[in-house]
Amino acid sequence: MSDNIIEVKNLVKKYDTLTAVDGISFNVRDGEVFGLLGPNGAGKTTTLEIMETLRNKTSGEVFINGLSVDNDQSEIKQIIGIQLQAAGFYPNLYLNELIELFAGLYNVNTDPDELLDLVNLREKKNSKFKELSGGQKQRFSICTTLINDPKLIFLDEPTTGLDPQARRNLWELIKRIKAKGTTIMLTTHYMDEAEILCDRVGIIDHGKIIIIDSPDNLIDDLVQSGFERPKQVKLASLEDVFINLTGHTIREA
Amino acid sequence: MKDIKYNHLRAMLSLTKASLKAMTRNPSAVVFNLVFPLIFILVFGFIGGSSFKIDVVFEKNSDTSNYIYRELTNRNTISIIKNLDYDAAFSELEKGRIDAVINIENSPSGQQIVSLKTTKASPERGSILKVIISEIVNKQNLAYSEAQVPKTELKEIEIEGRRYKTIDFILPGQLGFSLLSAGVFGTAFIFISLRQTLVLKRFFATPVKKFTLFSVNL
Ligand SMILES: Nc1ncnc2c1ncn2[C@@H]1O[C@H](COP(=O)(O)OP(=O)(O)O)[C@@H](O)[C@H]1O
Ligand SMILES: [Mg+2]
Repeated sequence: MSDNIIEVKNLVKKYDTLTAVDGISFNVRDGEVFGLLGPNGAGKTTTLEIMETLRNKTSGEVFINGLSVDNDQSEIKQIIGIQLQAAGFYPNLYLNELIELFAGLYNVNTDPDELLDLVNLREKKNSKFKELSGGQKQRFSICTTLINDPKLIFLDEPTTGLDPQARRNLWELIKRIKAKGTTIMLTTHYMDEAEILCDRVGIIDHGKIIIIDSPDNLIDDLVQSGFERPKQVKLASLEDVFINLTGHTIREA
Repeated sequence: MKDIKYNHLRAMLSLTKASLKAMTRNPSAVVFNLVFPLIFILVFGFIGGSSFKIDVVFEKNSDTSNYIYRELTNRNTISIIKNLDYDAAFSELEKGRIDAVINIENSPSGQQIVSLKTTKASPERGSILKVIISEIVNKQNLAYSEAQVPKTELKEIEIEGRRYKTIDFILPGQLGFSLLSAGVFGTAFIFISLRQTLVLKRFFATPVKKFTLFSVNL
């Protein structure tokens, strides 16, 4: 077996006349954080949901851990964790009950407290999902991807819509998950995030992958080609100012 | 890789447990899912229950110290209603609320005359009663078979009553149908809302089968 946990070859997805994914190919290595970067409508969610076996592809091949998305959907679902860009949870249940429900759906035994500790939500275990703040919702959503102790998790724009504190908090969480040896495939349109989190990134636009490399290499290549920022780079950004003034502590009132 | 086979029953149980828990926290769901069916069951239960009894009134001056009366009281399909005077009994009979009025007289010649009034408002139960009574009468006559004239004579009278209209037969069907469709729509409604809130999508991200999800909510 190769050490690619994901292999995508000439993947195409058409919605009627629109070609949302236009013949992309890439591999994700075991244990890395791979980022799919692209503007809204680039085809990130479509690509992810095909890999997650939630959507049918038009043509091409996708293998997850050597399993084909055409034939082995059930086996694939048992070894992956999925955080959807938009998802809901069963209404009127508390977080620990939701975890028990998913544990049943995945056929695994879990300790809800332990999982909630991982995402710092233990004190919220008797709250409902809809009562959580944006960052807490995202953290809980990621928490549910970990229930079946997956080899690979998919995170679709996990930090979109969060404030700087909550984003940094989520980055720490993602780093912790990676440290356990879990492969992470994420999408984002924040470049700072990709630079900090991803071992390699693929930049996708209009359904085509333009380039795949590590963030460092991509930046070095650009600098070598003689690129210079038009404006003199300051040593700090406005975001640094914001974080400096308001602190790292995460706001969840 | 996991070798253990995926157990759909376990997924189903945890789903059932979750949906029951969620339901108890949502008062309107409790009303729709539990109280309504309960009320309907009770209502239909009462309607259904009475259909197994034949309601009989004995006229006031009827002889009750005889074999036929005892036999009738012992049959559990027959319920004997007391404390109704003749006029009230007759009008109830016309409406079909009771099924028969019976009078047992002893003639001076020692003969026993049983007059059975049934109603067109309740023909089925009336004819069942006729069969029951004539069976009892025949039994008694057989016991007195050496007598010249039959010991007991049965007179049957059927009075006019409200006839069944088509609506009487259609109504229960319609009620049943509306209950059924309420159930079907209720399930569909749950699924539409779960779908719109993307709960179903998150469920499908787990190895659970579509069939399991649907069967739980039915
Ligand atoms: N179910 C769908 N039916 C039709 N078009 C869709 C559907 N889902 C996505 N699209 C279109 O496909 C393109 C890519 O969408 P998406 O994969 O969601 O992009 P991204 O996640 O990168 O923002 C968009 O133009 C979008 O409008
Ligand atoms: Mg998207």
